[in-house]
Amino acid sequence: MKILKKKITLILMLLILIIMHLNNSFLDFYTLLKFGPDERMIKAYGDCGGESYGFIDKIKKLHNKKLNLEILNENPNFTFNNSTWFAYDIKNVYDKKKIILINNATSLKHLEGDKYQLIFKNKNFGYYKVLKKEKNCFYLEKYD
Amino acid sequence: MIEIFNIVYLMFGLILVFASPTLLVIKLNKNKNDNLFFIYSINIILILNIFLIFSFFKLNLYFIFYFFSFIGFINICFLSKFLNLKKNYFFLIFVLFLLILSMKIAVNPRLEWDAAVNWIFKTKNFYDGFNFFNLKNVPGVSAYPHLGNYGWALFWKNSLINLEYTGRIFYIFIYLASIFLIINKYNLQLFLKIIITFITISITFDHSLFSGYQEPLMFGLIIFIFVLINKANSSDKLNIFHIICILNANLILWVKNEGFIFLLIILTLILIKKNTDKKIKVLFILSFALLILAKFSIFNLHFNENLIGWKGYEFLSFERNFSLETLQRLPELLYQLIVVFFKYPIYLIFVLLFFYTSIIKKKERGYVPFFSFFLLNCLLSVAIFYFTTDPKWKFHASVGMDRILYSTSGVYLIYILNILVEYFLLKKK
Repeated sequence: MKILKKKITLILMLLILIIMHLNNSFLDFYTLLKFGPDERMIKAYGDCGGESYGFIDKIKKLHNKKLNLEILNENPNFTFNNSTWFAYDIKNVYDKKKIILINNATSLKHLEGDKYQLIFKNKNFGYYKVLKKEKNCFYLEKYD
Repeated sequence: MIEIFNIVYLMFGLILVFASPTLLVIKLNKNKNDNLFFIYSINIILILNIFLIFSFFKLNLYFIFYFFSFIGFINICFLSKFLNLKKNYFFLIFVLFLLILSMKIAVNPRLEWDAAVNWIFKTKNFYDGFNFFNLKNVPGVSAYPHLGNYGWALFWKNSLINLEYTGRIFYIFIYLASIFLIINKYNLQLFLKIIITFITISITFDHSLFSGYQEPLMFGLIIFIFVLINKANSSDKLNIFHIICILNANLILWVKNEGFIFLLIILTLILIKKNTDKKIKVLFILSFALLILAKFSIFNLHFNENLIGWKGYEFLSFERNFSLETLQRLPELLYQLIVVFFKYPIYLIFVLLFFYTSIIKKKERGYVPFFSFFLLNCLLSVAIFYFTTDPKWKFHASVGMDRILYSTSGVYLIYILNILVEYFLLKKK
């Protein structure tokens, strides 16, 4: 009887291991141990490209936490989705001086020195200077 | 390691929060043979109705979590012998699957389209301590209902780490509870149950729908209501399960706007059933009408907006309904329907099995309601995209029809398992 019980337990364990293997659970477990949440978020949303979580997260750490940042991220082909929620807090109002521009260098027109004009989707946002730039991602501040 | 520990912590949090009011459910239900998942499904319906009420008030999410966990813990302690938790190996398999699927979401926490544009902001609203009335101040469509987001926010808030995906384990819990509820009612060997569960999850788990969409919650609630209607109809008289069905119907309305259409289909099935008491039919008509009216009034009053389809949805004028231009939509919509059948093979299996039993075996055995549901479901899903004035109907059909049909696909699971067990495996309990 004891041997039978042991056999059943063994088969059950084996079945569980097979199910976990087929579900890639061991790989998932390893991924969770090896890569932190930020690394996985960047893998899911991109660093600078697509939703650009990586770039937005870096700026969020530099920026005043009591103000929301407007994120301009054009998506003409519906290849990725909205990035706004990465840096949005319901309690906060939008920062009127700073903007993040993603995936769209053509919206910035260089005028002189550090002065740029921002025209996004035919809307003129005014004059800005670049505070931080990575590939096609820009952190902009209103030009005084 | 902290993230895996956090997932385990939230899993037990979910098991505890939805463990009450087991004591009451067992007292109400005199049938002692009911399984643990049946008790859990009723608990989920009752607790989610309470959460729905709470969402209209500014209440502390930590307090709600610990209060329900404590009540749940007391229920489990008092009833551990009755529930036979120590020897309930199938419950351990439930916990295992909860862990497996939660890890999948943790590894790829990406939010899909509607989730990143609409649902996450509703969740953040509750996460930040606001209530239903503040939803008009957040981005996204105000006229989308919010019940799922309240659950998402509750478990996210009570997570040990501040990551939004942690709240989505709540959706996995409801989805798995519904699948285990169906499978556990069969008196099969544990091994067989595990294999059936694995196959069922393999064909119904769609990672993209657990990326912030409300469909897994709808999937679970629709399974619950079908199981409950069966249970309620096992007696000719009005019983407590009829009332719980109505409470479940309320939840369906507050998860997604399509819930309104699902309720109409369910109500039609109840009304065409011959041996249901007329008084019960009247009760269902009145209560469903009241629930729909209440939900529509609340949205009209506070957001001045009500939606059945997507934002901006309008019906075609009567004379355009059958014009050549509109009729030309049909081939495309039928093509989309077939694509969905292949995307969610549960539909293909259902159609094949139905033809096998009704045409080859020539046995109907009370399964007509499933086929009626299937027909109504397909017709209405196509109708949503057929009768719209939106010129982008093709785009909406390609991204929306699969989700509408996924929500109700759990119903066919009940049929498929009934047939498989009846014809190929063992007899039911």
